Amino acid sequence: MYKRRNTIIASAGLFVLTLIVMLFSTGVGESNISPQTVFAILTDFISGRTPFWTPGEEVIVMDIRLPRIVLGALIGTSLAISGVALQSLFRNPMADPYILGISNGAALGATIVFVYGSAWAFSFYTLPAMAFIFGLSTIFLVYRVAKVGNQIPVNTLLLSGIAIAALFSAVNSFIMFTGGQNLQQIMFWTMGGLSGRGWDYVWIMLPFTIAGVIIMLSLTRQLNAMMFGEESAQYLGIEVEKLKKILLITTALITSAAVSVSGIIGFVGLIIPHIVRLVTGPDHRILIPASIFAGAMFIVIADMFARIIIAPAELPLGVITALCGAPFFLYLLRSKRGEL
Amino acid sequence: MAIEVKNVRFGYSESNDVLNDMNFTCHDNRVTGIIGPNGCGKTTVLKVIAGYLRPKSGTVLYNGRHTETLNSAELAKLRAVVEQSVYTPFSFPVYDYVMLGRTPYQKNFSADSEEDHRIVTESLKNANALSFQTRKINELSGGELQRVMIARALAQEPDFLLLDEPTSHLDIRHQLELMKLLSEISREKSILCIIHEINQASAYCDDIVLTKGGYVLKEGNVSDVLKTDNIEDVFGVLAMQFKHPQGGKNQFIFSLPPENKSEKKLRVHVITGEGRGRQIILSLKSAGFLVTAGILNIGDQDYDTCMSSGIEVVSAPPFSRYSDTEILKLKKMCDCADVIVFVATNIGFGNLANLETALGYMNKKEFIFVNTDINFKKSDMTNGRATEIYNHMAKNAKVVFNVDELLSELL
Repeated sequence: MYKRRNTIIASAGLFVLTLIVMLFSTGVGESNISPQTVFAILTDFISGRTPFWTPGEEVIVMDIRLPRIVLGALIGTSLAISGVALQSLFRNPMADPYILGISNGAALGATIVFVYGSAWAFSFYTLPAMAFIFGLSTIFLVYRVAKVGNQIPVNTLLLSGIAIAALFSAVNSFIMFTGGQNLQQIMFWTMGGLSGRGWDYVWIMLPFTIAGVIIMLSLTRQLNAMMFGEESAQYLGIEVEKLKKILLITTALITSAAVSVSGIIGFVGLIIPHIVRLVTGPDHRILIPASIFAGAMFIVIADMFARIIIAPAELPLGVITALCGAPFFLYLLRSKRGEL
Repeated sequence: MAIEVKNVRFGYSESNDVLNDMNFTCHDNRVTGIIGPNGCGKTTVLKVIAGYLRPKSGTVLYNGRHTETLNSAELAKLRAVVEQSVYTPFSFPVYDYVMLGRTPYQKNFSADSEEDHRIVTESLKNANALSFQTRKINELSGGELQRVMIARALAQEPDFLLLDEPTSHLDIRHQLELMKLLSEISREKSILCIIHEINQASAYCDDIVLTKGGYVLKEGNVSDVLKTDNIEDVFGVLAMQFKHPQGGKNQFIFSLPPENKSEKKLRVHVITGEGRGRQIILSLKSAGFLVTAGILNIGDQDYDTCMSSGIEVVSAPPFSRYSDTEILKLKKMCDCADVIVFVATNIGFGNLANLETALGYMNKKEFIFVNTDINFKKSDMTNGRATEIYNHMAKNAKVVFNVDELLSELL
């Protein structure tokens, strides 16, 4: 039985835990900085104490590590809540934020920039902008194809998503094959990563994540009802078509934004909802808040490993998320079988 | 308070309509059953009434209010729907599932109120589902799930409860329990329920809406609508009517009608009793013969069938020896008939006259002896007289063993 008190306690606990993970992770990397130092640097503007750290350490913490960790947390949150929402909407545990082809669309946009981009006036923001535009256009296209009258049948939506994703993936391969340059960069991008992302990326992502979190938290009951099908939800007084549009637009926007700043980080949107659900049960009133923090922590920790495993080089983040996520997920699936 | 369905037309495609022109009213504090053959649009009309499907034309009114003017939440406070089944891949607790019924009353971000909890517990109790409130929804059996779905519907505190074949997945005990539960609920709420089982509808519904081909064929009080001729019209089966021993509601036994029709308009008199001749009488009538029957004791199942199907009968008071007047009437009928059909029954001094009269016509008219149940030992309470005649008939008359053989003999 659901108790709101449990949700509040769990959320508060997870919030603190997330902050601790972020703090610890900020100290870890090619050069290690102790958590105390990190904490001192972070609270410097309040405490105003005389620095006992080197200016180099301050730059690493404030301008290199912290923005990518904050960005990682925002992306983890965004992907996790999108996954939760789409699994409920499609009543399918296989659904993830990329299910409607956002990743393929965004990858196509990125490939175009990598292959032909040097010919244009190359701005720093060209890549994320193209990825964002392509990702969002894909969803829009899928949506238009699937729309019948004023309704969006969920199965048609899934199938048109699969078909259009396949098409874009083929075009992408074609460009990569014929363009024949920057292949490694493209590969690295499609496996996702936070390397070298500064505060400007955080400011791009932040409004999307905040809006997504507020919207999803407001829709927890509706998401619960949607698990039992659209018809059932309608009978409970939910404007189903409106809800579907809100969910699709919200997840499309925050996922496209996430992909545009970090590339395609696979597996997070699929497994975080499941892992959390195995612990909390499928009630969205606790599933959504818990996923917000679990998603953030997962990416922050995965990014930390991406930084240190083959330091000074970095692994693509997507490789880590799949490497740690998949076995853990399999373990949970085996140990709590039948309780999705 | 009522649901009024007025001139509702609906189709899943532009060209093809499932509902052509539906008109009926679901009255206050009554159980209204929707009955009709497969594919006649029962579920569709329920979805239209529930506001899930929008009719092409026509209106649905709740207490005089047009559904189009109500938003989803307002509608959810007026009516709750119990679907045939509910599926989710996630294991959701029963209590929280029933709490979903409170959705139309709750605001985003708000917690479940004390009143919500009280109503959910009450609903679980009323639906006899309190004992499994802590279980998971996807671990319940069919009967339990059905009750939980009803509990959720009750938690919506609706004026109207719409159910789509609530008994279809249940075993017989659960079916009866569920129908009893609905009767109890109907003291406070109006119930509109699609029912497959005609006898259940007859036993538990107050009103019936009989539909066929997207139209309402008949609506009204259950005993006025669920009659043999209406059932034959709508479902194309022969219905033998009898009274349920408990409550005396009409019940029916069904059989397929004969495939061929007689052109000759022959007059057939059937001598039978004990309910053994019911199907034969109805089949003959349906095949186009002019059927009479008797002598039958009043209250005999054959007698009830003849009465409900409008067949002319020579009758006698129950449990008494046939009088001479009655025997005379029987002979008159036999004289008028082209064919005499005798259906084997138990014989005592009470109905011995039937057997003896039949014997008298064996050589006068076309005579057929029907022995429907070979294993049935006809008990003879007449000191051997009946057995003697039976043996004679078995040897010398045309003997058939079932309705189909009888019909092929006559057609």
